[in-house]
Amino acid sequence: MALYLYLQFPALQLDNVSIAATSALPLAVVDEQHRIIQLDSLCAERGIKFGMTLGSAAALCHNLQLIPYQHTRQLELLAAVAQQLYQLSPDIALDPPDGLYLRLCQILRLYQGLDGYWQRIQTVLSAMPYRYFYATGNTPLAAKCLARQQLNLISSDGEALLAQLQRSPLRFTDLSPDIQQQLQRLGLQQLGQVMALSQAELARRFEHGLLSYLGRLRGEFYHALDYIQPQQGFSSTLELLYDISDTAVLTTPLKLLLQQLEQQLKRADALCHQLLLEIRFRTQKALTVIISSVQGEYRAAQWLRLCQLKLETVRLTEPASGIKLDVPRFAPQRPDSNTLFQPVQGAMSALQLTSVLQARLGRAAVSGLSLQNQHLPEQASGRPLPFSTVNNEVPALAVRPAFLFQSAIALTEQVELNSGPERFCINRWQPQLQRDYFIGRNRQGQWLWLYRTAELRWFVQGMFS
Amino acid sequence: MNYAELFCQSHFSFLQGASSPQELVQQAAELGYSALALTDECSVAGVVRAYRHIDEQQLAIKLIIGSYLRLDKLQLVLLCPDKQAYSELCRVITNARRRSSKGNYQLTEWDLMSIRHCLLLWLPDGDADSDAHWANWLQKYHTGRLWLAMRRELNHNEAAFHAYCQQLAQQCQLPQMCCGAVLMHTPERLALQHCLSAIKAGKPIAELGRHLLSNTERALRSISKLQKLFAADWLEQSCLIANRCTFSLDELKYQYPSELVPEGETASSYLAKLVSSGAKLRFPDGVPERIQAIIDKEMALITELKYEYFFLTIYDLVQFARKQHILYQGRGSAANSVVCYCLQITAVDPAKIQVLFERFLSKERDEPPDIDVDFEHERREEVIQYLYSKYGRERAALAATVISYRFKSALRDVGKALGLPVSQLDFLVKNIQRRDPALSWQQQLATLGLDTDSETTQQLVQLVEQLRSFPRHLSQHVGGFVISQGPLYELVPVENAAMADRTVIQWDKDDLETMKLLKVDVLALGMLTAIRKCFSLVKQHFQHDLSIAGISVLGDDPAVYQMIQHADTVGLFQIESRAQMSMLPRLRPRNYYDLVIQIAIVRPGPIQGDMVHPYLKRRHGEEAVEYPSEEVKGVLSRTLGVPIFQEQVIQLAMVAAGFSGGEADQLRRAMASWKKTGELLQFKHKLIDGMQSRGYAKEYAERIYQQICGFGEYGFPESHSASFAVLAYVSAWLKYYYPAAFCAALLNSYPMGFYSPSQLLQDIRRHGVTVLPVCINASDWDFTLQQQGKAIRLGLRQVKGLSEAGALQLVKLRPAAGYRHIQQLRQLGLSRSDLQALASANALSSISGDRYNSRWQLQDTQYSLPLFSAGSEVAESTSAYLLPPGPVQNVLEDYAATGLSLLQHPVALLRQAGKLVRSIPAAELGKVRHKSPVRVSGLVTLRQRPGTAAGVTFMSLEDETGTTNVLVWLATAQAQQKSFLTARILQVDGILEREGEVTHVIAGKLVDLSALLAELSTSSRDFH
Repeated sequence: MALYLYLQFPALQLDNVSIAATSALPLAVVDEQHRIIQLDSLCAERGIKFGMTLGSAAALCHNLQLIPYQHTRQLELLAAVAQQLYQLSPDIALDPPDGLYLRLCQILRLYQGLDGYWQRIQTVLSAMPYRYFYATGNTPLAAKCLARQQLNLISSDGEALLAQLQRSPLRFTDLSPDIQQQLQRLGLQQLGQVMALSQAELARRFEHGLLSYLGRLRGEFYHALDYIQPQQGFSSTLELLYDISDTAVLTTPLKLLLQQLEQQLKRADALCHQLLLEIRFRTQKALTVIISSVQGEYRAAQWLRLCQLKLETVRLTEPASGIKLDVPRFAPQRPDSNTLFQPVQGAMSALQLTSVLQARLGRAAVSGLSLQNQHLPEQASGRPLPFSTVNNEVPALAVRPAFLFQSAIALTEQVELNSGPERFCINRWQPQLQRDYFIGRNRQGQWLWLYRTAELRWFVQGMFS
Repeated sequence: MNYAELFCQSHFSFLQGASSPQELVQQAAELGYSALALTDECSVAGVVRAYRHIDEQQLAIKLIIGSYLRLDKLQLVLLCPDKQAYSELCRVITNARRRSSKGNYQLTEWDLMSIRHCLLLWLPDGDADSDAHWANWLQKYHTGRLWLAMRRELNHNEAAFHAYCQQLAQQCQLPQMCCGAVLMHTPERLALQHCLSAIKAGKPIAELGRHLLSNTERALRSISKLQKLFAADWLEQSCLIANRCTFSLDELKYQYPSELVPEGETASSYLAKLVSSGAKLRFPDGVPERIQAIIDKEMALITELKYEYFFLTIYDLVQFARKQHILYQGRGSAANSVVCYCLQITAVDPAKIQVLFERFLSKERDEPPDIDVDFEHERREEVIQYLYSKYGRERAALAATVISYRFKSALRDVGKALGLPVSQLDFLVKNIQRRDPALSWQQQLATLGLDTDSETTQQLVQLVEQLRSFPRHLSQHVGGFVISQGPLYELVPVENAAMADRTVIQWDKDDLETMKLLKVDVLALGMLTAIRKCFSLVKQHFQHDLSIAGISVLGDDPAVYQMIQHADTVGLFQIESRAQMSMLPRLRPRNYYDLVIQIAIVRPGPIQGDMVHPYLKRRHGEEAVEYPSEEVKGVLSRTLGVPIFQEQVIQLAMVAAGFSGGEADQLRRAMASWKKTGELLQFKHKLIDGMQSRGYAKEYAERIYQQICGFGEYGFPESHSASFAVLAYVSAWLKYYYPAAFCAALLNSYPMGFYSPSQLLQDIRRHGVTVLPVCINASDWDFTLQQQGKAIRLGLRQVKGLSEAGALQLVKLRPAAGYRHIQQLRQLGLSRSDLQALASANALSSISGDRYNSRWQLQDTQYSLPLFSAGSEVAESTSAYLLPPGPVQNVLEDYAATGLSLLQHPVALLRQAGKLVRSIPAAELGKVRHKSPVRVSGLVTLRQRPGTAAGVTFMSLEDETGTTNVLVWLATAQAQQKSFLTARILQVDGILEREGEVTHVIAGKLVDLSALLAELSTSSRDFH
């Protein structure tokens, strides 16, 4: 008879946060409808319950700390758990947002039975920070229904499992709330009561969902599960034969790894935007260097160039004993959008140049330029990431100089004022703090953008071209 | 040098203006402006406030009425030089507003073309094509009344824009003037203005950037500064325009609709005739001399104050109601007059109380007369439609109510504008405790996790305080109608309300009072519906004709008062609440006037002013009745020297603190809105000093002031209490003599009152009335009387989810022998949800046994197939359902489907199951000694935390024998919040306290027993 294990993680996102920072205050995750969907033991002590609205929860507990629910994050965490278990149990299907189905029949032989298998699984689970509930069942839905009751039941005894299933309250099933309500309104509280009724009578009274569920629960209907595949990505470690203290020398073994990467990327018809290069030492903690390519790259030679540039800035305090190259995710290849007749400006595209500059100077040192929707000159231009979409909604103003000084300079020469003032309040909370801007010309005939403060002090903010 | 500001928007340009009309005129006057035009966007909603402020503060500034209007790129300010122009402006605003949904307007070229009298200030947009078009267009229609308005806001590229405007003016030969386009009275309002802009845009301030004002130039500026900014001839031009504007709101003369007076009669003669014939009707044995003297005095006063039309309007309204058999009752300052009694506006028999008309309507106090008429709540719409059909929509409209920012809405909107996350704001809004005056909301922010030192928090605090009381939108007044002789839109603009086919004027009730426009209050009252329905039931089952006046004339019935004294008042009007019930055995009302006091005394005013205990002591002879002076005695003798009514407080301010009539009137207004505006504080010193200087003790004066504060929003005038007492007495009389009919009538008028249908029925069962369950073969839509009027049959209206149409169909087509098969019901065409609702309420039990079986049969789709729908007597499904509901399920389902159960009380079920250890039933608490420990359990039917009782929560626990009153102190509640807030069934261990007939339990330990019932329900159903 088939056997499945169901694992439920009631607070993935919350448990994940709590490992990073243990809080003495009650912590809960709320969804967009402001309902509590994950909570810690402190919350439970105060009487906060799953599904409670934020208002009621807050009334029970004034110092409640809240984390907004992030569905993608939750799915990532669930998938990560599945990946870890994959090493032990290959047939795993996700049951978002918080459950996993594990098919056991084939694998049990490998572990000499259910107990052995469960021990191994438990070992992996206990190394994770997540709370979980579990149960086995003869069908995926049976296992799920039992696990959700938090029975923590590991058994392969079909009869015992069925008896337990029949005692299950309907609220632990996957039946729609409508069907559950209809059943309850007939006085049916437990699965066994429903299973005991004639299928023909049920078919005359309930929509298809009920019979379909019961069929899959009993194993009479096929229940297709989408088993996971091992994750895509690249990770390879290289232990060095001898310790290397010069980063330039490191590029030789690195080249090997990059070539492996190139092969895998070619097979996947993909490229990657970021490498994580971990340099390991005998005594010190490993050093991780991030190398990025804005446009994405698959060629080992190009990556090696970027790595060389980056490594030039790295000083090793101890000779390296090994390197590890990680690429967390691949990106699909994009066709080159350059047209045939576009003039070739140089050997490097703008994107490549940016990558080179970023590798040499650091990411923060390379930026674009944009107009910001702000009155004050010092806030009116921004430095976005290179090639990020510029906010075109901000129109340029007619009377603004092309060159602004980093910070205004005190006026020391005689100037003939031409137009103004344009007045700005520096701080809406202190309306008296204001600047009056004028356009003026100095003796050299330069057109200046200058301002006068409320204390009648004069500064030059910029120059017109 | 003079200056007249001709373009100024107050906070009645919602989410634009950042100052009130009062602040603007005050500041303009202080800056030495000769005039200020209040020109809110398509609105004159703020002008009366400005007008009143100028008048009250005697400011030397002229108020000009105008409005700012936009049509695509065209921006105009319209000003009213004379009354014709004002009517014109009102018409234009009305047309633009009526074309659009609530809060918006849509101007057309035709509106502008039709302007003949208003002066126009044009604000060019900067778009050359559009400006050229409009310049020519405006010149064509408005030569001689048109100016190009120049602004100096010191913003980007202003010099170029100015040059452009001047060129435009020259090309089109337009005269120029200057204006400030004012949005704030001082520069300090800039942050608030930014906040308003952010709320309007629905974005945080930080995202608005250049859409915000860059500086404070749109505040009122000093004349010297304006002289630097504008050319002298432009400034002069503004003053010249202001000089042309001679219109003042004083000129608005309100005229009552004349059709109320038949030809050949004057209003006075007609009213006198009506009163005289009414008097004959009211006093069939002849009008007593004393009463006639009062009538003559009242008529003289009415004629002197020219209020005849007002009385005639109300008379006309109640005559309509009489003809339609709609029950009504007048109340208010002028309602309790003999004239109103004769005109059948009220049923308060003047022979029974010493009504002094002047007590309500006084020349000195210069108050407008006030008559509110309550109608049956289910039929008020008929009265409103009558008004519309009689006077037309042009001449009748509802007064506005200005909906202002309250603390929570202000916190939410300011928070969003400052970029705080919505979930955090929700959290703050839900958790800030507003009841405890000792704990300010600012202090609570810290305990709720906000860093009170941070800039954002400080800004939040400051802006919320500023935004509170700012108007947010105009809504419709509950029932205040304004009716006029000519079209209303010539008097004040009319706009659409949110409700379809409702229109409101742009002024609220205070504005109407200022303008001396009289409004007629057409209000809805559920108790009147219940009383009328009770009269019908009594007529139907007992053949007795009853009326409110008829019952009043019978005089005070000691048996009825005895019932009231024992607080047996569930379902009665006004005296059924917990607080009223605990006061009744102490005050022990013996006659009508005692009821008037009873209704007014259980209010925040007397309670906060600590007036209740002194009154009770004096009433029971435990304290001497003393008066600090003869004047005070005149005011307070009828309430034994203790001020209880709002009128007494006002009169005290006049006789004891020397307030003039006008000041007393201001005090009355401030009382009505002090929570919103805090205006009352300005009277504190005047009142206390005034009283002290006249020899009254400071302590006494302070207490009077406290009471004035308490009266604030909940003030209760004697004039209203007097009318309410009539209805309270009538409802008590009906309950005493016809308990079943009264209870059925209440339930047929539901929702209303203080108690749930379940509580009303439990109470009536304790009075020996049988209650029969809902049944498809015996129930009507309404609750009915059966068994010779001794039993109540539940109506189908009590079945949740059952449509009225479905229920009426069911009743109409019911066979003489009743329904016998579910299939018959299907054939009626009842919807699935209707059938389910009937099954849930166990209304099908006469044909299918229990509700599970009914549902099982109803769910069978086989019989909904066409093949089975033709035959009339198809055999029912044979598959019997063998799972009957247990007693617990039945009770739970009864509650779910009808909100009540006639089977057993849920608490009784728990008691039988042995789940309530040592809990004493409510009915047996009488045997427990004062101050002894006690345990009680029950359904929580009430959690009430009155604003007057700091920190105390009243809870009512209902069990199968009655209701227990529990008092929970703040500390107890806080320590056991979980049980306190969420329990539906609660067990309380506490101390019993008794004072006379009043018993309550002071809560100690609270235990939530809610889960027990569910356990009871499932434990009997376990599948084995």
